[in-house]
Amino acid sequence: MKMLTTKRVIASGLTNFLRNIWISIAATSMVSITLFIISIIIVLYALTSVAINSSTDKIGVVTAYFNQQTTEKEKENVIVEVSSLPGVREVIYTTKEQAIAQFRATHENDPNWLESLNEFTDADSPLNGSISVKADSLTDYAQIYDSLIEDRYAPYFHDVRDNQKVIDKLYTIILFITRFGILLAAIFMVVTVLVTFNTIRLTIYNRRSEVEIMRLVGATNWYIRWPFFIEGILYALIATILTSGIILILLFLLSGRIEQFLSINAFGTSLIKSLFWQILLANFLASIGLTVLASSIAMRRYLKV
Amino acid sequence: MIRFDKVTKTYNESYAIKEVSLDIHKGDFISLVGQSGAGKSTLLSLIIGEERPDSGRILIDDIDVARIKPYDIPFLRRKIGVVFQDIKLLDNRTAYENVAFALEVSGESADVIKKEVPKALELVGLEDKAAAFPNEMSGGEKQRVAIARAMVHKPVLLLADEPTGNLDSINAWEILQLLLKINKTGTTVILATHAKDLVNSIKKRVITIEKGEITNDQEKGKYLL
Repeated sequence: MKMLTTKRVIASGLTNFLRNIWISIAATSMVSITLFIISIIIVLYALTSVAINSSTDKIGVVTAYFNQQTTEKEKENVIVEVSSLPGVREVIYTTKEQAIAQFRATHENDPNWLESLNEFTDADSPLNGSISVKADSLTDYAQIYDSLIEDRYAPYFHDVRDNQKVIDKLYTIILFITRFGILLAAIFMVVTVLVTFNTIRLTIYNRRSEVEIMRLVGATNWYIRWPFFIEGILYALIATILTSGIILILLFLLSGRIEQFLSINAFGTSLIKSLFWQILLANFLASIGLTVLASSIAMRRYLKV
Repeated sequence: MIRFDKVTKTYNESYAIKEVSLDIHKGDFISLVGQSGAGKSTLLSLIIGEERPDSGRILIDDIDVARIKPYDIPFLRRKIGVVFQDIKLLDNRTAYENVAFALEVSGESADVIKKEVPKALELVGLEDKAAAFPNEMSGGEKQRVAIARAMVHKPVLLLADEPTGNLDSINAWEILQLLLKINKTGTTVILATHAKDLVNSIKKRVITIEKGEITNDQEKGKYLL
């Protein structure tokens, strides 16, 4: 398309937008609401992931306790082997000394517990060191647990524990958020397409005489169509900027409180930054997709070219 | 220049145009007469590619309009000017802007528009009404603006579908004189009309169409119905 034509077509699209400003505002608002929902879902998803990671860090999801007689050399071998199991992200080794120190720290104010520690000699202490395994994803833990209780590891471990219930719960939450979010977003996307479709249809109706004359004097199909696409794209762009801006402000204002509430610390500026770009991109793609779809349907049905 | 070759068009299984064959030469002035619903408008719609025939060929300078690609239709229409009974001006634009609109939407530059629009308004004798809006003009003036818009592309063919239908006899006469003047400059004109007196006065070729068929085609003809 020539530069001149491009200019005229964009001007015409702007006119479409401005001539029915209230209807345009309504359509833009509808797109914005949908983008807001999509953004909230992205934030929630990121937050739950952060929360889950931080809590799995704390509880060390699958933990295997070494036998007394397991030598340091054997422990090293086991750690290397476990590290290479599928789905394993990280193996954290807690030495005997660390375990004892940790025990003391936990029960600092509890003389009974501390005394109980003294009842064991070094040789029969239950605190022989352990490994905590972190998986790539929550669904991998069951498999890792199964591997660790296989016979080949039996000589080294006296106990393997997983916190399956906690994992299940977290997994349920994240699944719920994802599913509910997708459902909600889908409903709003459909409504948005309908509203935008209706708005473009109205513009087409309002401009029917102009369109008719354009055809008769030899305007090309795309010259006639583009302004209606541009009208939809304008809704999308304005909604994207509006929503992403509001979300960014909310993230800055509320991040402290959210951190407190979830008792996590990872919610720094870098997370906000990466979240913002994700949201901006998602909003842009979603809004352009929805409005272009709506414009296309409206034109297909109501714009004879 | 235009050749209809056994062209048939039906709507809901009734004939609008039935096996019409017709030759129109460059520079012709043709009055196309017939009752409402006889097929005059269908014939014009077929020429500009607005409708497609069920069978037959319609050749305009070797282009078969019956088989033209949708992509090419706009370029065909820049070679054909069209004027209607209901005028179809944009009310929120001045006479000048209405004429300029035709060039704008065809991608012409501002320079071309500045040069060609005054010429077109001059052709129809409305150079002093350039800044007037349609509601500030008479019916005849509005129709002349519409003719200026149709002529601004310098078409080889001008189709006028009942252009005088809503005008009083004096305005109608003026429009007819304007069409004759345009014809003299070499543009082929097809005038579809009911106006018996006008047709009879000009002594040009008259094609009579009844129930979708051509019943009479005479040089220097008369309105026979």
